[in-house]
Amino acid sequence: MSDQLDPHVLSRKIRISFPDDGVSAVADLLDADCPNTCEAIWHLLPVRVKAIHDIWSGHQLLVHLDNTFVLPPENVLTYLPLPGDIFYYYRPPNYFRGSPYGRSESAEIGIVYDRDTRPQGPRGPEAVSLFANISSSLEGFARACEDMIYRGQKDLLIEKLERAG
Amino acid sequence: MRQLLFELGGTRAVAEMHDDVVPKTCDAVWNVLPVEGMAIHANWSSREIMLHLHGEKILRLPPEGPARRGTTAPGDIVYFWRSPQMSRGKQLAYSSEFQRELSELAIFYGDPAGGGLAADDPARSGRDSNLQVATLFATFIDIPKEFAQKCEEIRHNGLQRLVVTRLERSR
Repeated sequence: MSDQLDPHVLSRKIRISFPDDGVSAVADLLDADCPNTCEAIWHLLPVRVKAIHDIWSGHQLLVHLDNTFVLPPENVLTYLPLPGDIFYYYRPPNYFRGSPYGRSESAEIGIVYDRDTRPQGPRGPEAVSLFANISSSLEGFARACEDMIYRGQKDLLIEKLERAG
Repeated sequence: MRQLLFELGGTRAVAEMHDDVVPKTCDAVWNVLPVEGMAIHANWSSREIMLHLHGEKILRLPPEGPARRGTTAPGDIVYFWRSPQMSRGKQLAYSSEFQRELSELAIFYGDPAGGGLAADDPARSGRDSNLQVATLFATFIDIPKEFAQKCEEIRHNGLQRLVVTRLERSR
């Protein structure tokens, strides 16, 4: 019977919220495809960070983590993400000329909220580690993301969603 | 060459028009000045802010000048028009006037790319389809650091009022 269960029911879940807007969404960790990244992110939570709208990639937010949070690439064939996809990305010091977002080195989580998005930096598309996908409340969450184009950065809270029982 | 003054959040930058290359576009832009509005930051095109042209100031100009390679340099200022049927869906983040058709000044305030290549903008593909126009018509003269900083801050802090006027030279 277990192989007939919906994998979304079994997966670990995280909640992503804009506390100041009262908006949140729930995402499933993709443990089967990206186990090491999922495990590392899970143990990092909760985090409350500033989210900023991307300027290269389209409908995408990013948050900067501490630069010591370095994970090897995993499940990285993600040039064309779907709405709701959440990924981890790391670029080492001086990977790009200049300092995108004021940082020569960066460990990031990216959140894609609509189509026509491609994770990329100053030199073009970047392969990223896809580790989660928003499984509920994407529509309202996406509106709060798009609102950042007008209002600028927002606080973002990412936390474990523990299962009852 | 005619010059333009850009004022953003208490900072100023002066640009020179490319009258010798795209005279009709320069004339058309010159004739709608002054223009002002809330500048918005680009999502696909790197270090670029945009000023949407409103109401009577909307320009619908034909292509002019040499074909561009889709790359920009810091300080480039581009007239851009996109037809209502060009892009999928609506740009919900824009005011209702600009969710379909777009007429704007695109201001590239910083190094667009580490290697000099502008990032692709999926919403601006189809340059040969006559559904959009992108004409480089002016370039800043030594873009001031504080002006570029103000542009970048739009991404962090939200929209900023931008005013573009003719810079009349004293005789």
